[in-house]
Amino acid sequence: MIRASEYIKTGFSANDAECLGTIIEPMVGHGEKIQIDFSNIKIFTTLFFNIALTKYIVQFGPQKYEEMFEILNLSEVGQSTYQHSFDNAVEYYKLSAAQKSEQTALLSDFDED
Amino acid sequence: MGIVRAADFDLSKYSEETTFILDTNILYFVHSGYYLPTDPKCICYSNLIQNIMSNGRTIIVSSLNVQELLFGIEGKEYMRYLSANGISKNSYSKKDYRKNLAERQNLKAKLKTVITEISTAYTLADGQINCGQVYNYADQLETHCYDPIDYILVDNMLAQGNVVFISDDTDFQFDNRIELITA
Repeated sequence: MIRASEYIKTGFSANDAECLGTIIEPMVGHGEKIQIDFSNIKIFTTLFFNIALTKYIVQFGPQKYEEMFEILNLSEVGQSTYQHSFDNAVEYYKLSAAQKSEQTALLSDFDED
Repeated sequence: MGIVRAADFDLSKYSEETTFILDTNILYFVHSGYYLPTDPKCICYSNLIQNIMSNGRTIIVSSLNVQELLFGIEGKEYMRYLSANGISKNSYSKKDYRKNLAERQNLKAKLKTVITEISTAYTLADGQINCGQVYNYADQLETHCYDPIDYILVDNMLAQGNVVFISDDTDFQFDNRIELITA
């Protein structure tokens, strides 16, 4: 069991995701379910989950991802943010390579002109 | 005032009374939630903000920027819908998209998640717009490079004093009155 609060104070930034990722990554692909307990983490972003976790949906597919990971004790905010990340990653996974490029080009800038 | 690059940002140079203001594009990069895990701006700004937050400093987001973000995300979702369904803007307008109940419900879920993320992390401030500001925006148009929302945001926030703006919008770089942090 990975207790996220032993490594990060928030699930907010790319740094947070990278920090947790150094713990998760060595466990990926060894067959055992990776349990991550998010007790006591109160601030989350979808970006954090995209980088720390749901990238594995894009890599392995949603079914394999659900076999690999068990996410525990998310707050209400954490749960909605995680679900948002999960859904976005599943959508992305289903795109062709050309569609992925097109979507990335569409979404990578915020148009204020 | 001046421009500070995010890579050179040193929080110790700012007093504890400094308020950091996030522009709409920053909210987009950090909170839109789109799958862009290696985007350098998403990474840069999320880390910058976390540095400020974890040291207990004040970050304010105006409702002016939140509404602009929601409008922008709607635009992105509309474009994604066109692309996913192989249809053109000419044959399916944004007005048509707004009448699509299933898409409206999907968008609602997304926008509510975005609002929740932002309201959990930051202090939200009501953004005021008065007729005088609208008049001044136009009357002083040759002296600034802002769109109306940014003009009014800066006007509102400068009145508070001791503020620093974080924005990826180059329009802000032409205002000598403000301190700006940007990637």
